[in-house]
Amino acid sequence: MSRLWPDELGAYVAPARLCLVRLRRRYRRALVREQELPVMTGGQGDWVGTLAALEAKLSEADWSGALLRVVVADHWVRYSALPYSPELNSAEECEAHARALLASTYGDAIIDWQLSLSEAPPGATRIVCAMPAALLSGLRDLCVRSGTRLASVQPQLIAAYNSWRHRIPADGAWFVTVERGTLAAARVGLNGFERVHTVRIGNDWTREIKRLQIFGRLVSASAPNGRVFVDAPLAWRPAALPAGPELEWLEDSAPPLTTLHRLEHLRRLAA
Amino acid sequence: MRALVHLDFVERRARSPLLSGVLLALGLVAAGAVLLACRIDVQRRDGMELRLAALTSAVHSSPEQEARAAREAAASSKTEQELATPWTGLLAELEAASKDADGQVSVLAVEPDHAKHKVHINGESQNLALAIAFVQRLQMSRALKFPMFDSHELRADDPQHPIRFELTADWQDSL
Repeated sequence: MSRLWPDELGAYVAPARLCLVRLRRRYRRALVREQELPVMTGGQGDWVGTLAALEAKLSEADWSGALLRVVVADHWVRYSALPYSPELNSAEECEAHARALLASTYGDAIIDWQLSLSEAPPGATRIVCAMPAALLSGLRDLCVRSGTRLASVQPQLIAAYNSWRHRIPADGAWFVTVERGTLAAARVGLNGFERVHTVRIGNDWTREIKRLQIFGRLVSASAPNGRVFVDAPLAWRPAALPAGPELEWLEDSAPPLTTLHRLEHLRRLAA
Repeated sequence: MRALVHLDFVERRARSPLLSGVLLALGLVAAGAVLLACRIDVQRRDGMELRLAALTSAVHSSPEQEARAAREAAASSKTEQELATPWTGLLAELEAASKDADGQVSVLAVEPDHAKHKVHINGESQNLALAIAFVQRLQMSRALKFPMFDSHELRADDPQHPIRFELTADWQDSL
């Protein structure tokens, strides 16, 4: 492995599983290996087991020494849309406003969570994402212990959207990403994200699919740009048959060979 | 394609003041270099335009300048023609012919006609026989061809009554 261009390791951390991909970046990108691991955890809010599994993997020669990019499942994060306000001048004011907005939606439980805001031009709505500070510090600590450089930590909705943004029409649409236990839906307009909703879903996929199809029918009937693009595990597709026009399933036979694209691909395949 | 959404808990967009300063400095240096190069080009172009204007004015001169140039050209041509006249040989022949007449024939003037390739000679002798002998002597010279009398007259106002004559001859260049 080159020290100048170290391999990149993508890790998707979710309540019940861990997905890993490793890419070589030297002359041209090449997939070195990928793996999905089921994780036994104490509960949906317990990330300790997943992080322990990740740390164990990072200690192995096959997965060590790489630059680490982490995608955190939507189950462990919270989102809110932050409409543009000309009164907010500094980054501190924006963060305080975002924290108040999240607290009004999710209560005081997120008071000590770590926030990250998307970048957007003036006048456009921004997305704020909150993540438990303990989860973030757990990721940092395990990287220190394993000697791995942590390059990026993104929430699933953002990583998935960035992987599929070439498919989202410019005039607006809904983008939905689904993972075991969580569904995140974002309304994407001309200037980027406009609204974000996350809901907890059960294990009955057929029921969730039908709810999603009803949602798709409702929004496509109410607005001309109400197409719904769904990023969901491939295992869900048979449950959606016969496919209707209300949902557009996002699929790629040959994803672009970047670490996060490959990780998203593995996440959909392996679920 | 829609823009990438950047939301990351670790990776931040580069907002380093140092990096920004370095980039700004590089940009300013690059802009300065471009301006300097542009200024040098403008100066070079101005210089070339001045030279072109000087050359153009030299080619397209005023009427006075043209007249002066014509005069100079004519003078130059005249000088060139004068230089083309074989004076050395011509005068040597005239001197030799005068000496053969025991100095009794004097050459008073020699005037070339370049256009006709002729020379007019005025001379004076004590009598007509000497003048005729002088012309016959010149007819044998290599420098002159076809010397012939144009006129002669007896100078009655002179107490010795000399003969004043004029003759014309062609000259030869190959001397």
